Amino acid sequence: MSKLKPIPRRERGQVLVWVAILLPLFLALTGLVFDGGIMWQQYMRARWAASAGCVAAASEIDPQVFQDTGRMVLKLPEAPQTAFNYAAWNDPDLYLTSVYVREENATQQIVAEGYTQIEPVFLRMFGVTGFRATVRAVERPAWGVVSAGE
Amino acid sequence: MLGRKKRPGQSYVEFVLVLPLLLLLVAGVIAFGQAFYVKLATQAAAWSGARHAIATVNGQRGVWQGYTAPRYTLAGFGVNPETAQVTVAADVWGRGTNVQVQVCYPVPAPPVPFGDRLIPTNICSQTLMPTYKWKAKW
Repeated sequence: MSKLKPIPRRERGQVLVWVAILLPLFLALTGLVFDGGIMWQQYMRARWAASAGCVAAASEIDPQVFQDTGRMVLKLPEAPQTAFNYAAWNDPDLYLTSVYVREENATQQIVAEGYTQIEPVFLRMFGVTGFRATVRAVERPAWGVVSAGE
Repeated sequence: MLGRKKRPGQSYVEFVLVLPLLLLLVAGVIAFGQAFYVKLATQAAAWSGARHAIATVNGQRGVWQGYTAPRYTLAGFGVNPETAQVTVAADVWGRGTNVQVQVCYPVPAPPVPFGDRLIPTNICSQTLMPTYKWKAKW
């Protein structure tokens, strides 16, 4: 049975050298995972909030217009204001820059556009103070009335 | 001199010294990743619950829909819906009244020092929406 050969002097401390090289990389990886998680979570929160605002606004149908013309029309300015209110409740960090009603194939849609300012933790050490993530949500009053009085 | 003595196994000693630190990092990454994933799942589940709850003016049915939909969403995320706590709240249930759905999910504290302080062990998300004001069939 052969004896274990002693480590040559020039190879002593090799693990520490590797650690010194790899540890910053591991730390950077950890930091990026953390920041990535924060950013994705905040972005998705803003998206859900914008969508919730649009869902709420899409319910603001003008019954009088429907009764008179048979068209489903969103009330202005109630519908955009509702979108602002519910988006703000669901994500106070979401800034809706514009909420507007557009027509597509003779059907109205309410569109909410905005952004959320995402502040990283790890990347801040490298001078990255924040990202601006834009969000957009669209909803249409598809479930609306089909006959007068509903 | 001490530095010139033969020291077999030095690499192993160094490795053992460094191993806890590496394990700590890996455990931290896994724990943070899990927490973020659960947060995303609860956000989606709360939105889904609210979206389904507001589709009716029947309060009993609304609560059931708001309670059931998040469970399907969580299952879609691969998260055990049985562990989740879903709350559907509304002062009154009628056209245009507010409905709030909250989904909470407990996650184990990460096995790192002060892990229970670094990451919340009960991750919650809420969504508020008004019930439909107009609908062809309730």
